[in-house]
Amino acid sequence: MAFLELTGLVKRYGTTAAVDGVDLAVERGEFLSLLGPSGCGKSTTLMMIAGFVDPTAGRIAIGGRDVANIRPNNRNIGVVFQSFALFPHMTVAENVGFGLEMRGVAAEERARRIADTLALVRLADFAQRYPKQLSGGQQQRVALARALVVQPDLLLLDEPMSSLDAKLREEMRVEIRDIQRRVAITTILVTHDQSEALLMADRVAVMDRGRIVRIGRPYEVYEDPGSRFVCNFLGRTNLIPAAVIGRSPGRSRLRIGAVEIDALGDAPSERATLSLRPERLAFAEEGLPGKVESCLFMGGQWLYRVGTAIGELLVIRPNEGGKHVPEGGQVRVSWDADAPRVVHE
Amino acid sequence: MPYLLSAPATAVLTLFLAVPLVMVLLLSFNTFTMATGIQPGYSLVNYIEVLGDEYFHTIFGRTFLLAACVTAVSALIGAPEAYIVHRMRAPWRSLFLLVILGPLLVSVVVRTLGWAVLLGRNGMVNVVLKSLGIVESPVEFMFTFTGMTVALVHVLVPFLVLSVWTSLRRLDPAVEAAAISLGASQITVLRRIVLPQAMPGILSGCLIVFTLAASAFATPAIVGGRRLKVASMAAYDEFLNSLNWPLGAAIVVVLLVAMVAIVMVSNRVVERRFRQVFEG
Repeated sequence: MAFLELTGLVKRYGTTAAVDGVDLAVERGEFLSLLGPSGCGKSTTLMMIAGFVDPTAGRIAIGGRDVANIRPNNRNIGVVFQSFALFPHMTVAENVGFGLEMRGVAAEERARRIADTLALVRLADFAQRYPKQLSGGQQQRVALARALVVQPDLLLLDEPMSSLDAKLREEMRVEIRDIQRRVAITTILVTHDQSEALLMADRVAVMDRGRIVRIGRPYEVYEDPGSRFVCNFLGRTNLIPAAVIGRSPGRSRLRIGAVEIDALGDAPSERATLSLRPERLAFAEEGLPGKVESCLFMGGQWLYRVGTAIGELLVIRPNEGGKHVPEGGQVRVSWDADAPRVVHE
Repeated sequence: MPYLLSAPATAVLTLFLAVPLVMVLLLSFNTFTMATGIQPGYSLVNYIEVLGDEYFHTIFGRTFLLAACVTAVSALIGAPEAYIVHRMRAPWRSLFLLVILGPLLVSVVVRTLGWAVLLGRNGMVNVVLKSLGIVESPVEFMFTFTGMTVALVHVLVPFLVLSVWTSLRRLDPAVEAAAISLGASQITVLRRIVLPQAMPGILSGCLIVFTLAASAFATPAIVGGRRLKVASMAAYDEFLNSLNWPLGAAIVVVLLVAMVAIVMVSNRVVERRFRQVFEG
């Protein structure tokens, strides 16, 4: 039995369902990310686990125990909020110690655990500062320390990085993931940022309109998104409408104009959508002829728009120094056999 | 450019605040006798009278006691009221804010006479209390200290509610949720998280209420009457009844100086104590 189990979880506001039947099982120590656009129900799901929102229907069990009748202050869950939600009138040490105080931990023990946890988040020298005297990244780490110090059964992260700037966000992602591995705490991260979810989580659950539409390891979900929604949401892709002209188990033969392409995946009907990830496309001797319409330099990568017989294709090539194909250049676009995927609507 | 933009306000303030204040200050150094009227000059005789006379001690003592009582009661009523309004949902919140602001929308005379009708010897409250047999003789309300306090709290509590409400609005709701998730009960959240953050609002609201209560005139005059004089009434009487303008001016100056001192000292204390909440 999984450590955290959500069964048929529903939350309705009036007639609209914010969460519309979510089933989810998270193993002890696992890092799972709920990923989706705003309004997909991911935050509501998180708040139901935390106990701040009551489910309309369904069951939440933590460690095999139904928590429906356990109030949020007794659930022993650590939450890191988007705004960090630090107590502005308390020092860092007082912030971190608050949960211990609520649990009646003796002063000496408390001081020791505050010091240990602040060392874990590399804030040992900041214990006597107030939150307003800290940078965004430091505040973030205080919020994390405050949630972790009580040794919760579950750590919930609600868009924890969205108020940090880009550079800091990347550092904090790695740091939070490392800390999570070290303390081995079951963690659920809610985010709308796909790279955050892919980088940090053991498993990613993509949500759309109150349901989980795809769940799996980050690599699996990225490579085999299944639906157009997931495909579009996770990374960039070229989506090309096609006619289905042949089927074999797990594969489909598609035709776009005069071009025929073999793709992975079963096509549900006579029409299908082909997905070609831009980074899986390359320029080679053999392949689909095309003309470079625009060429943008992004530092680590070149971003090409190539006009071909199957439409305009986005091609991303790593910057390997030296030459790139200039605008107007004639190229041939090629790909590996496992790159084309059939996605359904 | 900023100077140009502030010119109208500067002109108004100079003309209608600074100049009259200086004139009152100068007036307070003049002397007065029934026989000679106001004599120009620079004498401290009025200040000696105001600061030395038992009669004025009682009046100033009453004024500040009244202001303190009104402030304390307003804080006890207003702060919870503001929190409740803060927690209300959208349509109710504006409705109840309007209700809270109600007393300010009614003219001071109408409002105060309303209190007289309601709470006088033969007012509604006493009639009901008597007919229910709860009291035998009517509860004295008009011309009592309690009456003045109640009537002033009624009109001044909105200032406190607004001040606290503004500071509560800056409160991040997630902060309360964070405290709850860390194991705090609702009462602990109120005491340890909400109250400390609302404190600057409560204290600045108290300051507004205190100064307005100490300088109130119409309400204490009607409800308290001449028997329970406060400083503003004493000044009024000196000006209009005794025609001793210099003495009235001296009362006004003493009241003003005392209040400015109180405001400045408490501002200092509040700012020092709550620096963390204010900063940023």
